[in-house]
Amino acid sequence: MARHRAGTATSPLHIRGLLSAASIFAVAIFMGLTATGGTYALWNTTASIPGGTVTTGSAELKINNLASYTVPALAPAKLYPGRSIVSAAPMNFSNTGTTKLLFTPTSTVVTVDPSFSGWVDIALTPATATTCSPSSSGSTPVSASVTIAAGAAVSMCLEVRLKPTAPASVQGKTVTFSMAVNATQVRP
Amino acid sequence: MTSTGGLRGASARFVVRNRIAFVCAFVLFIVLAGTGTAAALWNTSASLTASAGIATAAGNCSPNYLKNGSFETPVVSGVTTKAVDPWTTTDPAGIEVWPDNTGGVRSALGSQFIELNASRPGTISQVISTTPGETLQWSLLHRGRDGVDAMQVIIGASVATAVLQTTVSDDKGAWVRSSGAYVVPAGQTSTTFGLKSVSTASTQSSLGNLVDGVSFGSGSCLNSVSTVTNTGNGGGAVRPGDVLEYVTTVTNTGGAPAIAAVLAETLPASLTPSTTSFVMTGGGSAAVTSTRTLTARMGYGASTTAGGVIDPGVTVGFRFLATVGSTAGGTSIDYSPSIAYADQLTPTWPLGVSPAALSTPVVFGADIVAGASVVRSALPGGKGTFAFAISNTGPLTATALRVNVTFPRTFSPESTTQSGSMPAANCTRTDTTTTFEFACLIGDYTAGASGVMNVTGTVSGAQNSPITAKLVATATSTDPNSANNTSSTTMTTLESTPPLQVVQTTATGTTPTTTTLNWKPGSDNVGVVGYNVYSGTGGAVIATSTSTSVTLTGLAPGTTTTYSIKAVDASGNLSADYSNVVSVTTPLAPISTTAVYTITKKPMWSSETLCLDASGSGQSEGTAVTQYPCNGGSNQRWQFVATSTADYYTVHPLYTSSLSWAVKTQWVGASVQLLNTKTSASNEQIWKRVAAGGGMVQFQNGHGKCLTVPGDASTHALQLQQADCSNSNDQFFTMTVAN
Repeated sequence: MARHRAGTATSPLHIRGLLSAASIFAVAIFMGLTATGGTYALWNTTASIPGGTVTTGSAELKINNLASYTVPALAPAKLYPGRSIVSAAPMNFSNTGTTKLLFTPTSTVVTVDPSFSGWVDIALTPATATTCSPSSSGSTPVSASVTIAAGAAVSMCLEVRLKPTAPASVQGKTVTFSMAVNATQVRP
Repeated sequence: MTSTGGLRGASARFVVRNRIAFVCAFVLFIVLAGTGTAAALWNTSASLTASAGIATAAGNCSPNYLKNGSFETPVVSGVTTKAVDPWTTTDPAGIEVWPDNTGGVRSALGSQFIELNASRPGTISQVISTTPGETLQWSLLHRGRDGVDAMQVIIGASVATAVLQTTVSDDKGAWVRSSGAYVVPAGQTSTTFGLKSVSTASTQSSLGNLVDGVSFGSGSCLNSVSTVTNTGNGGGAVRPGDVLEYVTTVTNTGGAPAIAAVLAETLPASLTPSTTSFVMTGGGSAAVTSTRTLTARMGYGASTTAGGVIDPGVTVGFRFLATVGSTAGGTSIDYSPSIAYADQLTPTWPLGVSPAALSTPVVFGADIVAGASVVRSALPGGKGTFAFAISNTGPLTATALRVNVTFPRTFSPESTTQSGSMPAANCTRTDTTTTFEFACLIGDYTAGASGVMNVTGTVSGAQNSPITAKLVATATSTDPNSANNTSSTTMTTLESTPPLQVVQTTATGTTPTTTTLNWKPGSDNVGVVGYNVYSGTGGAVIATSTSTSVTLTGLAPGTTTTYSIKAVDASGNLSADYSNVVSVTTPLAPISTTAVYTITKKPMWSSETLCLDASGSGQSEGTAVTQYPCNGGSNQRWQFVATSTADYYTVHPLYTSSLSWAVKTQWVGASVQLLNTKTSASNEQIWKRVAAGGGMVQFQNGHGKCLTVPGDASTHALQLQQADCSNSNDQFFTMTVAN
């Protein structure tokens, strides 16, 4: 009996308990492993698992509700050596995904007459008011990294400064550029 | 109970295991998820594009800018508080204007400035039209009155809403410039610029904050003008040596200061500037390099190494004098400076302006040419005369012409006479221990004038002593070539001892037209200076020489001439006797068989010269050779054809070579006629020419008989004959080349 009773340790109830625990482990392992993936992590589906449901998130950054935004016009002022011009109004950088994001302007490419690239400094900085203002004279504008909560938005200003040493040959020209803004999920 | 208790116990174990499994699973999930790399985090991106325009420095001139920034109007004679258009002030008393040098404070710009703190601390402002988005510049000069004073620069749509640009705080003692830029906001078509008093070092709030040179506008805009004035010649035509005054003014008609203003010009070689004449208006300094590069650093605050500031409404200037070079006559002197500057907002982008170029034509001045010579030398104690020639080769009148002549004490000038276009001179004599100075004012001397002033004086030196007179002619007008204004000449005091007779005169190298005479050097107590050559003795001097030979040219062929020589010394004394006489007979010129000759005969007792003539241009044998008045016909022109006998020719008329002179017998009196020319001519038909002296010739045929005009008659058409040769006129002819 004692041995039989020992056999009662594998009763159906006991087996269900073991299976339930094993399934939880399996889901946990699967979740853990798949979470180490790359950008294909922008899942938009759900999966049901026994004993519970895990829903995937999304990450998305928009500038004035556009993934690729063309600034309609910087301030009508012209660039002078050592002076900046800024966007007429702050731009709305919104996190339309489900996870907190940290975005940083990562690259700026002067697309028209790239030879000017050495003579301009271009930066994105958080707006401090309803209008944009140049950074202080004598300084070099530097882009800032900004964290946006999921579903939130921040106001940013674009600033372009002509370096004080810009040669006379650049006067009267137009600098056209594009800026990539990469956002990364902030760990929970 | 046990069973129930066992079931409850089993169930409890199950729950406990599940909880443990769930916890472990959760921990495992967290561990697995948390051990991923950063790449494991979700990424997304967005992008933006934009364009920005770069300003143009040269495009910043605009008529819209702050006015009366230097507070020059209204003009006040003392510190006055009143309205100063177009400024407005919060001080009901007005704006306090100070004239220059009030309380020892000099205006920074112009002749007036203000004290911002008038009857109380206030704000002055001015409104200008603006374009949204444009970048405006402001600038001002500020200083404390009694110590450190402070004021604010405010700019905006109105005084009430103006934004603080900066607070300027300056001590007394010097003007300090402050400047900045302002971008006109969107929608703002008029902008207020204001200065607001903040604090003052004085215990009285109505004292402090001196302000001058306020500007607010879109950019600098320089305009420049150059002028040139001739300070000489009554301002008339520019001549070499005249001094020109160049003035270049630069005015900022823009709304912002121009900085680093520097004028530069490379002067032509014909223009020499006077560095002591440099005058800068509005500040600055100028210099010129050895390579004639003229640099003027202009404007407020300019130094010897950097250009200064030209504020809006301010005119600065640079003036200098330069002398026109002596070689500039007939050329034009160009002056075209350039002014480099920059705008405050674009200090490294050069701007420039050039006034209209000036081109100044230079006329020649009055070129005075002086020449001195000796008119008459004299023995010691006698009267000698110098001649001083003065001419003005123009092109202008030589004004106040003055002649100064210096004589040694061995010549005492006593009187002058003028000739040519030289007016009477007003001369004064000054005696020194070594010289007599003769200074004569001639006066204006027109272009083209030429005259001579003779100065006669007494010679007091010993015989043969030189007396050198030096002439210097000057005028107040410019002389493009002053090197020819001076001339010297030397008079040698005469002596009376003549040179000795010249000996051993010979002739060599005589040709039909030339001969060279040679002789031994002459001897004199002082020295022979030359020789006179005479024809024969006692004749006129036909040539002179300073050496012991002379070549005479142009002599007549076939003539004999005698020559003699006398030596000349410095006093003009001649040898008392002629040298030995040398006789020179020039040979006849060779007969040319290609030439055509006329052969003339002049009877002794007739003035008529007749030509040898082939009578009637006869074509047949027997045609008479006669003498006949000359008519140039082909029957009076003759050609000579050489024969096999040396020096003998056949002579035929130009119209035919088949007939030639001949006689039919060898007897005296045989007529000369034309016979057929034989291939091997006989003695009756061959003739040779013999010099007869005096350039004349005889013609002798193979028989030794001579061509003769019977009786030396002057009869026309008289046929010639042969006769025995004699030295008589009936046989003398003259040959002249006639082709």
